[in-house]
Amino acid sequence: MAQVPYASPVPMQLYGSLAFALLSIGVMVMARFFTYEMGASKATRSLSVELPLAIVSSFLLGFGALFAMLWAGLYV
Amino acid sequence: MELRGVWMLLALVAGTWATSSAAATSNASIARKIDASKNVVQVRTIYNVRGAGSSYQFLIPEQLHARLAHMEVLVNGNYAAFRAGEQLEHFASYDVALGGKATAGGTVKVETVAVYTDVLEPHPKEILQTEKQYMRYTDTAYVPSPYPTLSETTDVLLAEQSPREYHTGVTPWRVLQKTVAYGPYTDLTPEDTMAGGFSRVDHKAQMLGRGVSSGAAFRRLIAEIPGSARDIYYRDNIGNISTSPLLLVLDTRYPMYGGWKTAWYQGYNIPSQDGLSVNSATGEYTLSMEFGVPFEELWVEDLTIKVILPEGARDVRADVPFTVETSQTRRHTYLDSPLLGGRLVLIMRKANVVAEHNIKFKVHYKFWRPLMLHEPLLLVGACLAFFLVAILAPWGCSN
Repeated sequence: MAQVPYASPVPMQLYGSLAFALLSIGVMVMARFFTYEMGASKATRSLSVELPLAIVSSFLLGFGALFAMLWAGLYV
Repeated sequence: MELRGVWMLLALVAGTWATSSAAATSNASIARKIDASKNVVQVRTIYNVRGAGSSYQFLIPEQLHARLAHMEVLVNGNYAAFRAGEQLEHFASYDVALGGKATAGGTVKVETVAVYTDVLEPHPKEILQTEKQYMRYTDTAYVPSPYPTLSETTDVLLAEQSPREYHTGVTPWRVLQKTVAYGPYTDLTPEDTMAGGFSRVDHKAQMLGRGVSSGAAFRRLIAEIPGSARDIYYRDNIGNISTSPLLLVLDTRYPMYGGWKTAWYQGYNIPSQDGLSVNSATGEYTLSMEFGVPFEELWVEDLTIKVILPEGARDVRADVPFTVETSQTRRHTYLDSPLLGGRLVLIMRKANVVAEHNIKFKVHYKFWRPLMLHEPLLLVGACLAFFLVAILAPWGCSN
């Protein structure tokens, strides 16, 4: 029944470093995705390589962008 | 804004008001203190009531009642409920339930505290820049009451030590430093409606010149804001104006004379834990913030407070300890989607907001926490769509 102060699921102090870490790893994974796309021909490329890279990169970039916006003071 | 002085006119209108009811009840004594030293006027009246019945009626002059911003009533020192009574000619009446609370001496102490805005009028209305501004306050010379009054006194506290001018038809009165004391007046009966005829107490106070600005103007405002405030800003149409943290001292661009206006924006962020709490059993969120503005010296003619709740908030209810006009709207910004319908905005409006309203109000709402992931997932979806286009693009091309 007690009223407890609301605690953010992620501490505000971490927004900046989280954004930096997630975005840089995300960009690296994205780079790997595109080098794979460029290196393989239409016949040799495989969805089992492309999709995991795309999904992992999307999550990293998506959450990274979110924390970057929160860090900048956009209350999205 | 600080009022520099008070020019007071105490018009003696029907000091005691006749109603035939409650003949047994009388006022053993009435002590009234009028604090006219600020820009809102506080009138504290203590009635010592003899032979009190189950309820007691007190009156407020009509022209003051129209400017009533806040009122509280204490019976023998405890807050008591009161309600508007019958409308009388020239007076508004209120009834407070006593419930047979007579003390040992057979009297009940009824104390009313009323706060009025915009009752001090500048006098004269126009002055030269170098002149000092005096204010005029008008009230009844006798405390209006439907019951006979044995003895009463009125003290008026002014902003300045030596009042400049008085008109008075009632005696005795005397001046003690910043206070003008009227009374005691004895044996007033409700039939004495025109006692003293239309005599006036006219009263001017010298004002306090202060700082660099000339007497009739001000150019500094101080806002008290929470200690945890971050990213404080203060900006007007021309641009940013520097601020100091925690105690916001605002220097206007030009001195503010009577009738002049200025406009600015100010704001700050505080961590959510300072205003938002969660009920651990029900999961209900409660936002608790202060109503009113952070300026101690200002009262507000028309205050609008907008509370923007997270997208997806349900069962919203506001808990404000006084009456406000509320409405709701929706707002779409940033990553809000038509899926959830935008953020709910709770709008509260109140006229005549004084320092007494500067207390916490609460907004309760429910929010399904996983809904928080809605925004990052929208961003993830956008990235994924981009990658899928990259994967599928070669098949769309001819070679």
